[in-house]
Amino acid sequence: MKFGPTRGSILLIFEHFVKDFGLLLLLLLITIWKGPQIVIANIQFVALVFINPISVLVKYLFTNYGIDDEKMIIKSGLFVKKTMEIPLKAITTVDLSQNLLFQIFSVYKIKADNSSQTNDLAKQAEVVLALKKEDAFYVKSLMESKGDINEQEATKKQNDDVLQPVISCTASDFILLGILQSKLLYIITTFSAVFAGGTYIFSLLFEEVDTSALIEKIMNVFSPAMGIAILIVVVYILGAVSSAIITVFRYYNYTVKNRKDALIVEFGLFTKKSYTLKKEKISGVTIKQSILMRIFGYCSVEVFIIGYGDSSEGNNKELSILYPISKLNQVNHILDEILPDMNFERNYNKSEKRSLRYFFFCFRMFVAIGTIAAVIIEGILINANVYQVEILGASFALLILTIISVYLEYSNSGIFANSMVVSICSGILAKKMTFIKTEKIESLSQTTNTWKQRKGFMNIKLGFLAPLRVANIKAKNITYKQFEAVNQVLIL
Amino acid sequence: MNYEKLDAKAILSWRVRRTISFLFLIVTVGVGLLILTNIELDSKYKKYIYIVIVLLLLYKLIGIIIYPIIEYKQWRYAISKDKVEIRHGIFFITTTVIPIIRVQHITISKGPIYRKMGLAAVKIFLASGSFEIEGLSENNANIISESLKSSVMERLNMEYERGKA
Repeated sequence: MKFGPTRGSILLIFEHFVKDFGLLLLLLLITIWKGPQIVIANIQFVALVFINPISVLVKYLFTNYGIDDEKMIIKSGLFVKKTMEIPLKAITTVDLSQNLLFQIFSVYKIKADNSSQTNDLAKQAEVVLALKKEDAFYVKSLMESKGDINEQEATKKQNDDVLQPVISCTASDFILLGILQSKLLYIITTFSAVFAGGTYIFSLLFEEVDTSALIEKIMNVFSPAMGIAILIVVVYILGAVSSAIITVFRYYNYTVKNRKDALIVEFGLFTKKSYTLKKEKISGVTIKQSILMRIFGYCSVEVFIIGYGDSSEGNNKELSILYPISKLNQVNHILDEILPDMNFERNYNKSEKRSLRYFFFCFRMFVAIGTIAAVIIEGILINANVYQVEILGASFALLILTIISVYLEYSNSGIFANSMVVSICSGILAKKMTFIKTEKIESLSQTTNTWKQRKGFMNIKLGFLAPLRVANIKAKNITYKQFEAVNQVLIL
Repeated sequence: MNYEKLDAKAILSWRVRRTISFLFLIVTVGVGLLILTNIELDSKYKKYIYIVIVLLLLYKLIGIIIYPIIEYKQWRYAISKDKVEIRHGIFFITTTVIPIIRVQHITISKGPIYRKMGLAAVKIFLASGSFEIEGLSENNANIISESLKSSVMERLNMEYERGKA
């Protein structure tokens, strides 16, 4: 054994303090405030309070971690004993993090992910333990060296602190990201609501009215439907602002360091995180542009690797960000530098003109046409509605918007393949350019119908090694020639 | 590539499976209609609901009688030394190419209907999802599974030797 067996630091059981010990703390407060009688009277409910603390304690006491030359050995279980062995070669990311409590005691939480963790069932193969600083860095170097003694020596010598960041982002970058990533519709509604509300309040301020009259006036002005609409907008704005604040705190002092074999991503204010992304385990990257980003020439870059960006805490999903925000024309330069075994040229073979008609065969087009048909049938055959013309007008507007969206989808579509990467460009208002390492592609599916097949068009789906929610990408209405280009480079 | 067809009994197995789910649907629809007759609703809307139910049941009936024949005609699979190809669908034909080197594990599954008919399905698992060759005779399923396993092992050994060199 090169390390362990050990249970690690006991601080691990307090990692989710509010979730696991919150009720117990509440019970303690109630006991102090109301006296022990109330607790004794409700003893059957009090027992429930101890379930979570006991389960985390049992899990901690009966889980041991050890590392030998080739594998990590995890022994766990109170009644049913289980031994799990994870080859060090299978580990994709090693992540060190510190919340406030861990920072006080100089303890690091280590999370190691491996290639079997592409679905929830395999979540049990996740490795999470807390260790003192020296042990944590030793374990990290063991995991990164994959049992190779030479590599272990080299890893020991590497001092990541002296590396200069190749990417660094400030809080303002994340605020800009939050603003530019927002959906256009939301921004329009927010602006119009704020503008309309502001104008109204402004006009009220110049009238001499007392508070009760003001409230009465507001109540009279807004119908219940309008009130609900305003409430939704207010909730959205509050949600957007709180999400922006959380994002800024979470990604505070975001840096990416470029080591020969790995990318080191570090960020966090209260909870500091450090991810080591092995370059050979990275399956690909995606360059994303929302509509506003396209207007201002910005983009954000996400990376596909198991163990990074596929965890979530509560409702806050952690993104697999590599470059939060950058000018599109600068992104290639930095990506070529940090991931030299990939090719980030955007020489897409755009969709052929003949394929445009097939883009119109989509669900939203059927919905738009179906709506018009339903309105006409309802009006002519069954019952003439008072608002018939307005509804029909709205349906036609929906149809026009759908046609525009289909055209945009067609014009954004593109694909290219070479021995290094397969890249697919897609999107309607927002645009996404995904680059997948050819060696990481696991399956290639093409779907077509007789009509499309005769004309030589098809949809394709690529399955690749990545967290399951992003492990498949699609390209619509490509030619047989483009499909063959991908099929040719597939590593068999 | 030489494509193989599924066992002819697959048609019957699909029909039995779909008939069972059709019966469940009939029961659900029956309960729904019972509730519908007892609630006050404009007859115009009731008419719409009846039309939708009839269309749904017709679609399901076609799914039992006609679709299995078309599906069987379209289903093809081919296993070579380095890849598996699966082709299936009714109106939209999907062809999938899976490099054998990417296969994580293989399972053979037999539900009660398949067991009764001596059929089995081979499921091929990758890290990014899974693909199934269904409606195979038990014997064929075992042969395919063994051949896939040996191909995977052969490729892995080759990779290992290459790595060592």
